[in-house]
Amino acid sequence: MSVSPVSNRQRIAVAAILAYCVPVVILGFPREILPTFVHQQTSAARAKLDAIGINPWHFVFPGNRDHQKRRHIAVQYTGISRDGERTVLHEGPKGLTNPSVRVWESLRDTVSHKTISLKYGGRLMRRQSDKAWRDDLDTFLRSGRPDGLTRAFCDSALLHGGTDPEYVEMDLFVAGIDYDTGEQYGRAVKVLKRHCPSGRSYRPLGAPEDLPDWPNVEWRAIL
Amino acid sequence: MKQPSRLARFEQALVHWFLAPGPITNLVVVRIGLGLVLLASVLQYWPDIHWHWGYDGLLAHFIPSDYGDHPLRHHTTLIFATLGVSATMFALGFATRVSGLVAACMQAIVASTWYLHSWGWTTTIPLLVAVVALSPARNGWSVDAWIARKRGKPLSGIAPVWGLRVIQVHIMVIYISAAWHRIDDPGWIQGEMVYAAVANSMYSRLPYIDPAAIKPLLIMLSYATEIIELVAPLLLWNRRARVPVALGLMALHLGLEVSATIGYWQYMMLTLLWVFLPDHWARRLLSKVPGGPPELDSHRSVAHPS
Repeated sequence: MSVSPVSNRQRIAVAAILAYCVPVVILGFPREILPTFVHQQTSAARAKLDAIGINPWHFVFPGNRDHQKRRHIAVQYTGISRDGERTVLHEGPKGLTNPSVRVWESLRDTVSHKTISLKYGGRLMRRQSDKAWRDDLDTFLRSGRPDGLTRAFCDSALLHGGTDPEYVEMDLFVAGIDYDTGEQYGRAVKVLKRHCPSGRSYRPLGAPEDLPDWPNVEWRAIL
Repeated sequence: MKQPSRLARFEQALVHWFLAPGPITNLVVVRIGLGLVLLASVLQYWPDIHWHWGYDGLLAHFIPSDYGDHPLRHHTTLIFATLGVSATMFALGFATRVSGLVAACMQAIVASTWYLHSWGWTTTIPLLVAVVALSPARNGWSVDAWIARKRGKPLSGIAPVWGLRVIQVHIMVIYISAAWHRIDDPGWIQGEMVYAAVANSMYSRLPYIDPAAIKPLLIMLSYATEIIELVAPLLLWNRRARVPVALGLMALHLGLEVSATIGYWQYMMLTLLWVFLPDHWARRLLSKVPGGPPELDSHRSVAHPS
């Protein structure tokens, strides 16, 4: 068999392509496939690349599995003025009720969902047991996310629309679905109330007045 | 006559695999598709960019320590406008290398602001756009090719296939990464994940659908998804299996797009999977668009090397 000679130019070109492709493949491998040492090194490299907006492997859900039994989630931020006037600053989805068909994704809805996060919001949607649900709510509060989110609606003129609220309240609405029975259980809670001038926060304050109109969802009391 | 060594044969095969001449048609489809994906995302986000990314927006107050000095906070309009313009130019193939690299950088800047606004496609697309920008994807169906023809120096429709190969490697790794975490996930093992996704109003295109009524179908779709994503990294390299597997994956992404909204992930993957299809399919797709290089007609496909 004859082999046509490879030029140095071709060698350099292929070396350059391999210098790119080999790390792409190695960095893309899951931790279980790689030796621990390689995994540690590649994790650091991936984290750095992620920080600058590059993750061509789409590394998904590491350590964040078991996503069963979710249903609906919605959040509402209300500003309360000094004389007690209440203004809804943001709610996602708008009206707290999804349309029956979503043609386009809404940036604000996605942001609302993801500020609550897959980790905390997902658990809150899933849990049927009252105790597990309360524990997850505590974990969510301790995460500091509700604090950061209410602070944002206190401080940003763009978010509070120039209303300069005295207080900002965060309400959360979640519903889960039982995989076996199809039973749908919802819970709604005033997660946090923040006094904007002092930055002091008050923890769960009972249920919001208006509940979303989610089909077949039975709303349960927060015990 | 002296037999070439095993190393020489390996080197020659490697050079052939990456640098053999082939039609640029599939790369052109990918260039146009990725450019349109980026443009669509800019148009969708535009009304809310300041609410989310702006100087006084949500991120600036929610995560001040991480986002306070981010360039997107200080130049929100400029960065999104640059992304929109460069993505349009990239799709049109106008100053393709520069516009593609600029679009990739702008998209990486947007993607580096936490993932609150989007899903996995955001951080996956920048490098792929950069690869296509540097590849010969500008050689046909582009303003660059039209200008070159006017100047009497036409760009060739047959060029080294390295761009195609690099994207193929990326796609393989994407499916390895996506499929592996399903192996020991109870939700996937029990076939519940498609049900969970359809039932979840965060993703579902039909938030009020009753998933319990179609549970058997959703279980079947779970296993079908799992199987095709697990075998794809291997079978996409098999000459006989490549096209059916690529079409199966495209059907998977179309099904996901019909049932769920997770940004532009499905459109990005539907575009990228063209690199595994015969190039004459892409030529037929582009046949209504003027500007195809004439030498393509007689060249055989390289997405199916023998």
